Amino acid sequence: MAERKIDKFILFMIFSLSIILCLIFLSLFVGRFYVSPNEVISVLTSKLLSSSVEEISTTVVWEIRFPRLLLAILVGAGLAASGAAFQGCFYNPLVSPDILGVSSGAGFGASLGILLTGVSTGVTSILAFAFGLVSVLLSWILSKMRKGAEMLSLVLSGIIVSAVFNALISLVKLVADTDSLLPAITFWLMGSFSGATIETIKYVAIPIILGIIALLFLRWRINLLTLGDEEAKSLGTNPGRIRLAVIISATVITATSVMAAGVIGWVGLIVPNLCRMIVGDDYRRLLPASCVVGAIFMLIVDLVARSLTAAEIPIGILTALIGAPFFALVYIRGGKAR
Amino acid sequence: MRLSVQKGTFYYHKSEPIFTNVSFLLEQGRIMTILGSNGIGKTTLLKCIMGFNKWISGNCFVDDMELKEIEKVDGIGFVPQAHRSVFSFSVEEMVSLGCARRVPLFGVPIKEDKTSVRSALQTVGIEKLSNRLCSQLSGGQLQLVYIARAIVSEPQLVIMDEPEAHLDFKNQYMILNLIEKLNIEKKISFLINTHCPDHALRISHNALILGKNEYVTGKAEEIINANNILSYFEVHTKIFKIPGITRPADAFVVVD
Repeated sequence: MAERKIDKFILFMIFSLSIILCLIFLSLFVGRFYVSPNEVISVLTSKLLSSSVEEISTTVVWEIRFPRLLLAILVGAGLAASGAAFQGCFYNPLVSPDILGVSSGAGFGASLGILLTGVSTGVTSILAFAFGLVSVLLSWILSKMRKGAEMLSLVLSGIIVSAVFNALISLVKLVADTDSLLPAITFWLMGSFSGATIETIKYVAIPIILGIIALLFLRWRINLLTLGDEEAKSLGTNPGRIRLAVIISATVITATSVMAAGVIGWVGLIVPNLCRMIVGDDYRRLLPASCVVGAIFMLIVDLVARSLTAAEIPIGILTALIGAPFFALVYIRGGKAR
Repeated sequence: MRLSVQKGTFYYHKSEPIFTNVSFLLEQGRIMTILGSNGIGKTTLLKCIMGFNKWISGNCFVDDMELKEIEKVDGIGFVPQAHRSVFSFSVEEMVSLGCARRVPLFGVPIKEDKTSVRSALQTVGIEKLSNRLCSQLSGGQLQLVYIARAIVSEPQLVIMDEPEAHLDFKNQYMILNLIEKLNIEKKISFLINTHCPDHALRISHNALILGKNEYVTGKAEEIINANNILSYFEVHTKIFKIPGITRPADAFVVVD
Protein backbone atom coordinates (compact mmCIF):
# COMPACT_ATOMS: atom_id res chain seq x y z
CA MET A 1 0.00 0.00 0.00
CA ALA A 2 2.76 2.42 0.98
CA GLU A 3 4.55 1.81 -2.32
CA ARG A 4 1.38 2.40 -4.26
CA LYS A 5 0.95 5.78 -2.59
CA ILE A 6 4.46 6.80 -3.59
CA ASP A 7 3.81 5.67 -7.14
CA LYS A 8 0.73 7.82 -7.22
CA PHE A 9 2.83 10.76 -6.06
CA ILE A 10 5.46 10.12 -8.73
CA LEU A 11 2.75 9.92 -11.38
CA PHE A 12 1.34 13.21 -10.11
CA MET A 13 4.77 14.83 -10.33
CA ILE A 14 5.42 13.52 -13.86
CA PHE A 15 1.98 14.69 -14.95
CA SER A 16 2.54 18.14 -13.41
CA LEU A 17 6.00 18.52 -14.90
CA SER A 18 4.68 17.69 -18.35
CA ILE A 19 1.98 20.32 -17.91
CA ILE A 20 4.73 22.80 -17.05
CA LEU A 21 6.55 21.90 -20.26
CA CYS A 22 3.35 22.41 -22.29
CA LEU A 23 2.74 25.75 -20.58
CA ILE A 24 6.32 26.85 -21.27
CA PHE A 25 5.80 26.23 -24.99
CA LEU A 26 2.42 27.89 -24.91
CA SER A 27 3.91 30.91 -23.11
CA LEU A 28 6.53 31.29 -25.83
CA PHE A 29 3.84 31.27 -28.54
CA VAL A 30 1.23 33.50 -26.92
CA GLY A 31 1.54 37.25 -26.64
CA ARG A 32 0.37 40.57 -27.96
CA PHE A 33 3.19 40.86 -30.47
CA TYR A 34 2.34 38.22 -33.02
CA VAL A 35 5.08 35.77 -33.74
CA SER A 36 3.89 32.88 -35.87
CA PRO A 37 4.36 29.37 -34.48
CA ASN A 38 6.80 28.56 -37.26
CA GLU A 39 8.86 31.57 -36.37
CA VAL A 40 8.91 30.64 -32.67
CA ILE A 41 10.16 27.20 -33.60
CA SER A 42 12.82 28.61 -35.85
CA VAL A 43 13.86 31.04 -33.11
CA LEU A 44 14.13 28.13 -30.67
CA THR A 45 16.13 26.02 -33.07
CA SER A 46 18.23 28.87 -34.45
CA LYS A 47 20.69 28.68 -31.57
CA LEU A 48 21.31 25.05 -32.38
CA LEU A 49 21.26 25.28 -36.15
CA SER A 50 22.62 28.87 -36.33
CA SER A 51 20.00 29.65 -38.97
CA SER A 52 18.89 33.22 -39.43
CA VAL A 53 15.54 34.51 -38.20
CA GLU A 54 13.99 37.92 -38.02
CA GLU A 55 15.71 39.86 -35.26
CA ILE A 56 12.54 41.19 -33.65
CA SER A 57 11.13 37.68 -33.23
CA THR A 58 14.32 36.57 -31.53
CA THR A 59 14.08 39.52 -29.15
CA VAL A 60 10.44 38.86 -28.33
CA VAL A 61 10.93 35.16 -27.73
CA TRP A 62 14.31 35.13 -26.02
CA GLU A 63 14.48 38.46 -24.25
CA ILE A 64 10.85 39.12 -23.33
CA ARG A 65 8.83 35.90 -23.19
CA PHE A 66 11.53 33.53 -22.01
CA PRO A 67 12.71 35.56 -18.96
CA ARG A 68 9.11 36.28 -18.15
CA LEU A 69 8.07 32.65 -18.03
CA LEU A 70 11.18 31.77 -16.06
CA LEU A 71 10.29 34.45 -13.51
CA ALA A 72 6.71 33.16 -13.34
CA ILE A 73 7.98 29.64 -12.65
CA LEU A 74 10.45 30.80 -10.00
CA VAL A 75 7.98 33.06 -8.22
CA GLY A 76 5.11 30.56 -8.43
CA ALA A 77 7.18 27.66 -7.14
CA GLY A 78 8.86 29.84 -4.52
CA LEU A 79 5.72 31.44 -3.11
CA ALA A 80 3.88 28.11 -2.97
CA ALA A 81 6.80 26.38 -1.26
CA SER A 82 7.27 29.16 1.26
CA GLY A 83 3.53 29.27 1.95
CA ALA A 84 3.55 25.54 2.65
CA ALA A 85 6.63 25.92 4.85
CA PHE A 86 5.14 28.80 6.83
CA GLN A 87 1.98 26.75 7.39
CA GLY A 88 3.99 23.88 8.82
CA CYS A 89 6.14 26.18 10.89
CA PHE A 90 3.20 27.76 12.65
CA TYR A 91 1.05 24.62 12.47
CA ASN A 92 -1.72 26.53 10.79
CA PRO A 93 -3.01 25.74 7.29
CA LEU A 94 -4.40 29.25 6.88
CA VAL A 95 -1.05 30.98 7.20
CA SER A 96 0.45 32.39 4.03
CA PRO A 97 3.40 34.70 3.45
CA ASP A 98 0.90 37.57 3.17
CA ILE A 99 -0.78 36.83 6.48
CA LEU A 100 2.50 37.10 8.37
CA GLY A 101 3.12 40.48 6.83
CA VAL A 102 6.21 39.60 4.79
CA SER A 103 4.63 40.86 1.57
CA SER A 104 3.56 44.15 3.14
CA GLY A 105 6.97 44.51 4.79
CA ALA A 106 8.88 43.74 1.61
CA GLY A 107 6.42 45.92 -0.31
CA PHE A 108 7.13 48.83 2.00
CA GLY A 109 10.89 48.26 1.73
CA ALA A 110 10.71 48.24 -2.06
CA SER A 111 8.43 51.31 -2.23
CA LEU A 112 10.86 53.13 0.02
CA GLY A 113 13.69 52.01 -2.25
CA ILE A 114 11.89 53.31 -5.34
CA LEU A 115 11.14 56.57 -3.52
CA LEU A 116 14.74 57.06 -2.46
CA THR A 117 16.61 55.83 -5.51
CA GLY A 118 14.08 56.29 -8.30
CA VAL A 119 14.19 52.87 -9.92
CA SER A 120 14.59 49.27 -8.86
CA THR A 121 18.18 49.01 -7.75
CA GLY A 122 20.29 47.11 -5.31
CA VAL A 123 19.04 49.39 -2.55
CA THR A 124 15.43 48.50 -3.39
CA SER A 125 16.23 44.81 -3.23
CA ILE A 126 18.05 45.08 0.07
CA LEU A 127 15.27 47.15 1.63
CA ALA A 128 12.57 44.77 0.33
CA PHE A 129 14.38 41.81 1.78
CA ALA A 130 15.21 43.46 5.12
CA PHE A 131 11.68 44.71 5.75
CA GLY A 132 10.25 41.34 4.73
CA LEU A 133 12.29 39.70 7.46
CA VAL A 134 11.49 42.43 9.98
CA SER A 135 7.75 42.04 9.44
CA VAL A 136 7.79 38.28 10.00
CA LEU A 137 9.88 38.73 13.12
CA LEU A 138 7.50 41.38 14.44
CA SER A 139 4.49 39.11 13.85
CA TRP A 140 6.17 36.23 15.59
CA ILE A 141 7.31 38.28 18.58
CA LEU A 142 3.91 39.94 18.90
CA SER A 143 2.13 36.58 18.95
CA LYS A 144 4.53 35.30 21.60
CA MET A 145 3.78 38.26 23.84
CA ARG A 146 0.12 37.35 24.06
CA LYS A 147 -0.72 34.26 26.06
CA GLY A 148 -3.43 31.92 24.93
CA ALA A 149 -4.53 30.57 21.58
CA GLU A 150 -1.35 30.67 19.56
CA MET A 151 -2.92 30.04 16.17
CA LEU A 152 -5.28 32.96 16.46
CA SER A 153 -2.77 35.35 17.99
CA LEU A 154 -0.31 34.66 15.18
CA VAL A 155 -2.86 35.51 12.53
CA LEU A 156 -3.89 38.62 14.45
CA SER A 157 -0.27 39.71 14.90
CA GLY A 158 0.29 39.33 11.17
CA ILE A 159 -2.76 41.46 10.47
CA ILE A 160 -1.45 44.13 12.84
CA VAL A 161 2.02 44.15 11.29
CA SER A 162 0.56 44.15 7.77
CA ALA A 163 -1.68 47.07 8.68
CA VAL A 164 1.29 49.09 9.91
CA PHE A 165 3.34 48.41 6.80
CA ASN A 166 0.38 49.04 4.50
CA ALA A 167 -0.06 52.40 6.20
CA LEU A 168 3.63 53.10 5.68
CA ILE A 169 3.28 52.14 2.00
CA SER A 170 0.44 54.67 1.72
CA LEU A 171 2.67 57.25 3.33
CA VAL A 172 5.42 56.56 0.80
CA LYS A 173 2.86 56.85 -2.03
CA LEU A 174 1.63 60.12 -0.58
CA VAL A 175 5.02 61.75 -0.73
CA ALA A 176 6.09 60.10 -4.00
CA ASP A 177 6.25 62.17 -7.18
CA THR A 178 2.87 61.69 -8.88
CA ASP A 179 4.24 61.70 -12.43
CA SER A 180 6.97 59.13 -12.26
CA LEU A 181 7.40 57.44 -8.91
CA LEU A 182 3.78 56.96 -7.81
CA PRO A 183 2.71 54.97 -10.91
CA ALA A 184 5.88 52.92 -10.62
CA ILE A 185 5.15 52.06 -7.02
CA THR A 186 1.45 51.40 -7.63
CA PHE A 187 1.94 49.07 -10.59
CA TRP A 188 4.79 47.36 -8.89
CA LEU A 189 2.68 46.69 -5.79
CA MET A 190 -0.02 44.99 -7.87
CA GLY A 191 2.51 42.54 -9.17
CA SER A 192 3.72 41.92 -12.69
CA PHE A 193 6.21 39.84 -14.59
CA SER A 194 6.44 42.37 -17.40
CA GLY A 195 9.71 43.84 -16.20
CA ALA A 196 11.48 40.49 -16.38
CA THR A 197 14.77 40.44 -18.22
CA ILE A 198 17.57 37.94 -18.28
CA GLU A 199 19.32 40.31 -15.86
CA THR A 200 16.40 40.10 -13.39
CA ILE A 201 16.43 36.34 -13.59
CA LYS A 202 20.13 36.27 -12.78
CA TYR A 203 19.77 37.86 -9.39
CA VAL A 204 16.33 36.45 -8.56
CA ALA A 205 16.99 32.83 -9.42
CA ILE A 206 19.79 32.24 -6.94
CA PRO A 207 18.01 33.26 -3.69
CA ILE A 208 14.72 31.62 -4.71
CA ILE A 209 16.36 28.37 -5.78
CA LEU A 210 18.58 28.30 -2.71
CA GLY A 211 15.56 28.95 -0.50
CA ILE A 212 13.58 26.15 -2.15
CA ILE A 213 16.53 23.77 -1.85
CA ALA A 214 16.90 24.62 1.85
CA LEU A 215 13.18 23.93 2.40
CA LEU A 216 13.41 20.67 0.46
CA PHE A 217 16.33 19.59 2.62
CA LEU A 218 14.21 20.24 5.71
CA ARG A 219 11.08 18.66 4.22
CA TRP A 220 10.82 15.84 6.71
CA ARG A 221 11.78 18.00 9.70
CA ILE A 222 8.91 20.39 8.91
CA ASN A 223 6.57 17.46 9.65
CA LEU A 224 7.95 17.50 13.20
CA LEU A 225 7.34 21.24 13.50
CA THR A 226 3.65 20.78 12.72
CA LEU A 227 3.26 18.79 15.95
CA GLY A 228 4.03 21.79 18.13
CA ASP A 229 7.19 22.52 20.09
CA GLU A 230 6.76 20.14 23.01
CA GLU A 231 6.05 17.09 20.91
CA ALA A 232 8.84 17.99 18.50
CA LYS A 233 11.28 18.27 21.40
CA SER A 234 10.14 15.00 22.94
CA LEU A 235 10.89 13.31 19.61
CA GLY A 236 14.45 14.60 19.80
CA THR A 237 14.46 17.59 17.53
CA ASN A 238 15.19 21.26 18.20
CA PRO A 239 12.10 23.05 16.87
CA GLY A 240 13.51 26.53 17.48
CA ARG A 241 16.43 26.12 15.13
CA ILE A 242 14.50 24.34 12.41
CA ARG A 243 11.76 26.93 12.57
CA LEU A 244 14.35 29.69 12.28
CA ALA A 245 15.91 28.00 9.24
CA VAL A 246 12.48 27.53 7.63
CA ILE A 247 11.39 31.11 8.35
CA ILE A 248 14.63 32.51 6.95
CA SER A 249 14.41 30.37 3.79
CA ALA A 250 10.73 31.12 3.23
CA THR A 251 11.26 34.82 3.91
CA VAL A 252 14.22 34.98 1.51
CA ILE A 253 12.02 33.42 -1.18
CA THR A 254 9.04 35.67 -0.52
CA ALA A 255 11.06 38.86 -0.19
CA THR A 256 12.92 38.04 -3.42
CA SER A 257 9.64 37.35 -5.21
CA VAL A 258 8.15 40.63 -4.06
CA MET A 259 11.32 42.38 -5.10
CA ALA A 260 11.19 40.91 -8.61
CA ALA A 261 7.48 40.74 -9.35
CA GLY A 262 5.73 42.88 -6.75
CA VAL A 263 3.08 41.75 -4.32
CA ILE A 264 1.39 38.59 -5.56
CA GLY A 265 -1.06 37.30 -3.00
CA TRP A 266 -2.97 34.03 -2.63
CA VAL A 267 -0.49 31.69 -4.30
CA GLY A 268 1.17 30.82 -1.01
CA LEU A 269 -2.18 29.96 0.52
CA ILE A 270 -4.12 28.28 -2.29
CA VAL A 271 -1.49 26.09 -3.88
CA PRO A 272 -0.28 24.30 -0.72
CA ASN A 273 -3.85 23.69 0.43
CA LEU A 274 -4.80 22.34 -2.98
CA CYS A 275 -1.75 20.07 -2.85
CA ARG A 276 -2.65 18.88 0.65
CA MET A 277 -5.86 17.51 -0.80
CA ILE A 278 -4.03 15.69 -3.57
CA VAL A 279 -0.82 14.38 -1.97
CA GLY A 280 -1.56 14.69 1.77
CA ASP A 281 0.10 16.68 4.53
CA ASP A 282 3.50 14.95 4.58
CA TYR A 283 6.02 17.60 3.58
CA ARG A 284 8.14 15.03 1.76
CA ARG A 285 5.43 15.09 -0.91
CA LEU A 286 3.74 18.39 -0.15
CA LEU A 287 6.77 20.62 -0.78
CA PRO A 288 7.77 19.26 -4.21
CA ALA A 289 4.09 19.13 -5.21
CA SER A 290 3.57 22.75 -4.11
CA CYS A 291 6.58 23.84 -6.18
CA VAL A 292 5.32 22.33 -9.42
CA VAL A 293 1.68 23.27 -8.91
CA GLY A 294 2.76 26.80 -7.91
CA ALA A 295 4.71 27.10 -11.16
CA ILE A 296 1.74 25.78 -13.18
CA PHE A 297 -0.64 28.19 -11.46
CA MET A 298 1.63 31.16 -12.06
CA LEU A 299 2.27 30.29 -15.72
CA ILE A 300 -1.48 30.07 -16.32
CA VAL A 301 -2.17 33.33 -14.48
CA ASP A 302 0.57 35.08 -16.44
CA LEU A 303 -0.77 33.73 -19.73
CA VAL A 304 -4.20 35.09 -18.86
CA ALA A 305 -2.71 38.39 -17.63
CA ARG A 306 -1.03 39.13 -20.93
CA SER A 307 -3.50 37.71 -23.40
CA LEU A 308 -7.00 38.29 -21.99
CA THR A 309 -7.28 42.01 -22.68
CA ALA A 310 -5.43 44.56 -24.78
CA ALA A 311 -3.86 46.09 -21.67
CA GLU A 312 -2.00 43.83 -19.34
CA ILE A 313 -3.77 42.91 -16.10
CA PRO A 314 -1.61 43.08 -12.96
CA ILE A 315 -0.84 39.59 -11.65
CA GLY A 316 -1.88 40.31 -8.06
CA ILE A 317 -5.41 41.14 -9.18
CA LEU A 318 -5.69 37.91 -11.16
CA THR A 319 -4.34 35.61 -8.47
CA ALA A 320 -7.03 36.91 -6.14
CA LEU A 321 -9.80 36.84 -8.77
CA ILE A 322 -8.96 33.35 -10.00
CA GLY A 323 -7.57 32.05 -6.76
CA ALA A 324 -10.18 32.98 -4.21
CA PRO A 325 -13.25 31.40 -5.84
CA PHE A 326 -11.22 28.38 -6.91
CA PHE A 327 -9.96 27.98 -3.37
CA ALA A 328 -13.48 28.30 -1.99
CA LEU A 329 -14.63 25.54 -4.34
CA VAL A 330 -11.75 23.22 -3.51
CA TYR A 331 -12.10 23.94 0.18
CA ILE A 332 -15.82 23.07 0.27
CA ARG A 333 -15.32 19.87 -1.69
CA GLY A 334 -12.21 18.91 0.27
CA GLY A 335 -14.13 19.30 3.51
CA LYS A 336 -16.59 16.67 2.37
CA ALA A 337 -13.90 14.28 1.21
CA ARG A 338 -12.08 14.38 4.53
CA MET B 1 17.97 3.93 32.85
CA ARG B 2 17.15 5.43 36.20
CA LEU B 3 15.14 8.61 36.50
CA SER B 4 15.30 10.67 39.65
CA VAL B 5 13.81 14.00 40.60
CA GLN B 6 15.48 15.81 43.48
CA LYS B 7 13.68 18.55 45.36
CA GLY B 8 11.80 19.75 42.31
CA THR B 9 9.89 22.98 42.85
CA PHE B 10 7.75 24.89 40.40
CA TYR B 11 5.38 27.84 40.48
CA TYR B 12 4.08 30.51 38.14
CA HIS B 13 3.47 32.93 41.02
CA LYS B 14 5.54 32.61 44.16
CA SER B 15 2.48 32.84 46.38
CA GLU B 16 0.86 29.84 44.67
CA PRO B 17 3.40 27.02 44.42
CA ILE B 18 2.30 24.16 42.15
CA PHE B 19 4.58 21.70 43.93
CA THR B 20 7.47 22.11 46.35
CA ASN B 21 10.52 19.90 46.93
CA VAL B 22 9.17 16.84 45.14
CA SER B 23 11.66 13.96 45.07
CA PHE B 24 11.26 10.47 43.69
CA LEU B 25 13.19 7.71 42.01
CA LEU B 26 12.11 5.53 39.11
CA GLU B 27 14.27 2.43 38.64
CA GLN B 28 14.79 0.75 35.28
CA GLY B 29 11.97 -1.57 34.33
CA ARG B 30 9.44 -0.19 36.80
CA ILE B 31 6.12 1.52 36.24
CA MET B 32 5.45 4.64 38.25
CA THR B 33 2.22 6.57 38.26
CA ILE B 34 1.69 10.16 39.30
CA LEU B 35 -1.78 10.57 40.77
CA GLY B 36 -3.75 13.64 41.60
CA SER B 37 -6.95 15.42 40.80
CA ASN B 38 -7.40 17.63 37.76
CA GLY B 39 -5.38 20.83 37.74
CA ILE B 40 -3.15 19.80 40.63
CA GLY B 41 0.03 20.00 38.53
CA LYS B 42 0.64 16.47 37.24
CA THR B 43 1.20 17.63 33.68
CA THR B 44 3.33 20.54 34.91
CA LEU B 45 5.53 18.06 36.78
CA LEU B 46 6.03 16.02 33.61
CA LYS B 47 6.79 19.20 31.68
CA CYS B 48 9.44 20.13 34.23
CA ILE B 49 10.98 16.67 34.00
CA MET B 50 11.18 16.92 30.22
CA GLY B 51 12.50 20.46 30.31
CA PHE B 52 9.48 22.16 28.72
CA ASN B 53 9.11 24.12 31.96
CA LYS B 54 12.21 25.14 33.90
CA TRP B 55 12.40 24.06 37.53
CA ILE B 56 12.37 26.97 39.96
CA SER B 57 14.70 24.84 42.05
CA GLY B 58 15.72 21.21 42.07
CA ASN B 59 16.90 18.90 39.31
CA CYS B 60 16.07 15.82 37.38
CA PHE B 61 18.66 13.15 36.59
CA VAL B 62 18.80 10.36 34.05
CA ASP B 63 21.28 7.92 35.54
CA ASP B 64 23.97 10.37 36.61
CA MET B 65 23.34 12.99 33.96
CA GLU B 66 21.15 15.99 34.57
CA LEU B 67 18.13 16.06 32.28
CA LYS B 68 17.62 19.62 31.13
CA GLU B 69 16.28 19.28 27.61
CA ILE B 70 14.63 16.08 26.50
CA GLU B 71 15.68 16.63 22.87
CA LYS B 72 19.29 16.07 23.92
CA VAL B 73 18.66 12.82 25.79
CA ASP B 74 18.25 9.52 23.97
CA GLY B 75 16.17 6.68 25.29
CA ILE B 76 13.09 8.54 26.48
CA GLY B 77 9.78 8.47 24.64
CA PHE B 78 6.81 10.71 25.30
CA VAL B 79 3.11 10.06 24.73
CA PRO B 80 1.07 13.27 24.92
CA GLN B 81 -2.61 13.35 25.75
CA ALA B 82 -4.36 12.09 22.63
CA HIS B 83 -5.27 15.10 20.55
CA ARG B 84 -5.97 15.80 16.91
CA SER B 85 -3.05 17.42 15.19
CA VAL B 86 -3.65 20.30 12.79
CA PHE B 87 -2.39 18.46 9.77
CA SER B 88 -3.35 14.92 9.03
CA PHE B 89 -0.58 12.45 8.51
CA SER B 90 -1.11 8.79 7.77
CA VAL B 91 -0.50 6.47 10.71
CA GLU B 92 2.75 5.29 9.14
CA GLU B 93 3.97 8.85 8.57
CA MET B 94 3.04 9.85 12.12
CA VAL B 95 4.80 6.88 13.70
CA SER B 96 7.89 7.40 11.55
CA LEU B 97 8.28 10.85 13.17
CA GLY B 98 9.40 8.87 16.22
CA CYS B 99 12.61 8.08 14.32
CA ALA B 100 13.65 11.75 14.44
CA ARG B 101 16.60 11.11 16.75
CA ARG B 102 18.36 8.91 14.24
CA VAL B 103 17.33 10.58 10.99
CA PRO B 104 19.99 13.12 9.96
CA LEU B 105 18.97 16.79 10.03
CA PHE B 106 18.46 17.03 6.27
CA GLY B 107 17.47 13.41 5.82
CA VAL B 108 14.29 11.39 5.61
CA PRO B 109 13.52 8.00 7.21
CA ILE B 110 15.27 5.15 5.45
CA LYS B 111 14.41 1.48 5.02
CA GLU B 112 15.53 0.48 8.53
CA ASP B 113 13.34 3.18 10.02
CA LYS B 114 10.40 1.85 8.04
CA THR B 115 11.10 -1.62 9.42
CA SER B 116 11.05 -0.34 12.99
CA VAL B 117 7.86 1.60 12.27
CA ARG B 118 6.25 -1.62 11.07
CA SER B 119 7.35 -3.53 14.14
CA ALA B 120 6.15 -0.75 16.48
CA LEU B 121 2.76 -0.85 14.75
CA GLN B 122 2.68 -4.62 15.19
CA THR B 123 3.60 -4.34 18.87
CA VAL B 124 0.66 -2.08 19.61
CA GLY B 125 -1.55 -4.04 17.21
CA ILE B 126 -2.46 -1.43 14.60
CA GLU B 127 -0.44 -2.56 11.59
CA LYS B 128 -3.68 -2.74 9.62
CA LEU B 129 -4.23 0.99 10.12
CA SER B 130 -0.86 2.04 8.74
CA ASN B 131 -2.26 3.80 5.67
CA ARG B 132 -5.23 5.40 7.39
CA LEU B 133 -5.19 9.10 8.11
CA CYS B 134 -4.83 10.03 11.79
CA SER B 135 -7.84 12.33 11.41
CA GLN B 136 -10.04 9.31 10.65
CA LEU B 137 -9.09 7.33 13.75
CA SER B 138 -11.01 6.90 16.99
CA GLY B 139 -9.57 8.24 20.24
CA GLY B 140 -8.33 4.81 21.30
CA GLN B 141 -6.68 4.14 17.95
CA LEU B 142 -5.06 7.57 18.00
CA GLN B 143 -3.62 6.91 21.46
CA LEU B 144 -2.13 3.67 20.11
CA VAL B 145 -0.52 5.65 17.27
CA TYR B 146 1.14 7.97 19.79
CA ILE B 147 2.35 4.98 21.82
CA ALA B 148 3.77 3.37 18.68
CA ARG B 149 5.51 6.66 17.85
CA ALA B 150 7.04 6.76 21.34
CA ILE B 151 8.36 3.18 21.22
CA VAL B 152 9.62 3.19 17.63
CA SER B 153 13.03 4.44 18.73
CA GLU B 154 13.20 1.65 21.36
CA PRO B 155 13.31 3.83 24.45
CA GLN B 156 14.11 2.60 27.94
CA LEU B 157 11.63 4.98 29.52
CA VAL B 158 8.28 6.21 28.25
CA ILE B 159 6.55 9.20 29.82
CA MET B 160 2.78 9.32 29.35
CA ASP B 161 0.41 12.15 30.11
CA GLU B 162 -2.98 10.70 31.07
CA PRO B 163 -2.94 8.01 28.40
CA GLU B 164 -6.41 6.71 29.24
CA ALA B 165 -8.08 10.00 30.15
CA HIS B 166 -10.39 10.55 27.20
CA LEU B 167 -11.05 6.94 26.34
CA ASP B 168 -14.09 4.77 26.85
CA PHE B 169 -14.15 1.88 29.31
CA LYS B 170 -12.94 -0.76 26.86
CA ASN B 171 -10.11 1.36 25.48
CA GLN B 172 -8.93 2.40 28.94
CA TYR B 173 -8.16 -1.20 29.80
CA MET B 174 -6.76 -1.91 26.36
CA ILE B 175 -4.19 0.86 26.94
CA LEU B 176 -3.43 -0.26 30.52
CA ASN B 177 -2.87 -3.83 29.35
CA LEU B 178 -0.62 -2.61 26.56
CA ILE B 179 1.49 -0.64 29.06
CA GLU B 180 1.91 -3.77 31.21
CA LYS B 181 2.79 -5.84 28.14
CA LEU B 182 5.44 -3.34 26.99
CA ASN B 183 6.85 -3.23 30.51
CA ILE B 184 7.17 -7.00 30.72
CA GLU B 185 8.16 -7.83 27.15
CA LYS B 186 10.31 -4.82 26.25
CA LYS B 187 11.48 -3.94 29.77
CA ILE B 188 10.39 -0.35 29.23
CA SER B 189 10.01 1.81 32.34
CA PHE B 190 6.97 4.04 32.48
CA LEU B 191 6.21 7.32 34.17
CA ILE B 192 2.47 7.84 33.83
CA ASN B 193 0.08 10.59 34.87
CA THR B 194 -3.38 9.46 35.74
CA HIS B 195 -6.28 10.62 37.85
CA CYS B 196 -7.65 7.13 38.42
CA PRO B 197 -6.32 5.46 41.61
CA ASP B 198 -7.65 2.09 40.46
CA HIS B 199 -5.71 2.30 37.20
CA ALA B 200 -2.59 3.28 39.12
CA LEU B 201 -2.95 0.40 41.55
CA ARG B 202 -3.59 -2.01 38.69
CA ILE B 203 -0.45 -1.32 36.70
CA SER B 204 2.16 0.50 38.75
CA HIS B 205 4.95 -0.63 41.02
CA ASN B 206 5.43 2.81 42.51
CA ALA B 207 3.18 5.81 42.83
CA LEU B 208 3.29 9.44 43.73
CA ILE B 209 0.15 11.24 44.84
CA LEU B 210 0.30 14.95 44.26
CA GLY B 211 -1.81 17.29 46.35
CA LYS B 212 -1.85 20.95 47.20
CA ASN B 213 1.45 21.73 48.96
CA GLU B 214 2.05 18.07 49.79
CA TYR B 215 2.73 14.75 48.16
CA VAL B 216 3.31 11.16 49.11
CA THR B 217 5.34 8.58 47.23
CA GLY B 218 6.17 4.94 47.71
CA LYS B 219 5.08 1.48 46.65
CA ALA B 220 1.75 1.64 44.88
CA GLU B 221 -0.04 -0.89 47.06
CA GLU B 222 1.17 0.87 50.19
CA ILE B 223 0.24 4.45 49.40
CA ILE B 224 -2.87 3.97 47.29
CA ASN B 225 -5.14 3.34 50.25
CA ALA B 226 -8.43 4.62 51.58
CA ASN B 227 -6.74 7.22 53.80
CA ASN B 228 -4.69 8.82 51.06
CA ILE B 229 -7.60 8.74 48.62
CA LEU B 230 -9.67 10.57 51.20
CA SER B 231 -7.04 13.21 51.88
CA TYR B 232 -5.94 13.78 48.27
CA PHE B 233 -9.21 13.19 46.40
CA GLU B 234 -11.75 13.86 49.14
CA VAL B 235 -13.60 10.65 48.35
CA HIS B 236 -14.48 8.00 50.94
CA THR B 237 -13.55 4.62 49.55
CA LYS B 238 -12.96 1.09 50.61
CA ILE B 239 -10.55 -1.12 48.72
CA PHE B 240 -11.17 -4.86 48.69
CA LYS B 241 -8.82 -7.57 47.45
CA ILE B 242 -10.84 -9.96 45.35
CA PRO B 243 -9.87 -12.95 43.22
CA GLY B 244 -9.96 -12.20 39.50
CA ILE B 245 -9.99 -14.48 36.45
CA THR B 246 -6.26 -14.47 35.83
CA ARG B 247 -4.98 -12.54 38.83
CA PRO B 248 -6.19 -10.95 42.06
CA ALA B 249 -7.82 -7.57 41.66
CA ASP B 250 -8.49 -4.51 43.74
CA ALA B 251 -12.08 -3.42 44.01
CA PHE B 252 -12.63 0.25 44.73
CA VAL B 253 -15.94 1.01 46.34
CA VAL B 254 -17.05 4.54 47.02
CA VAL B 255 -18.74 4.70 50.40
CA ASP B 256 -20.67 7.83 51.22
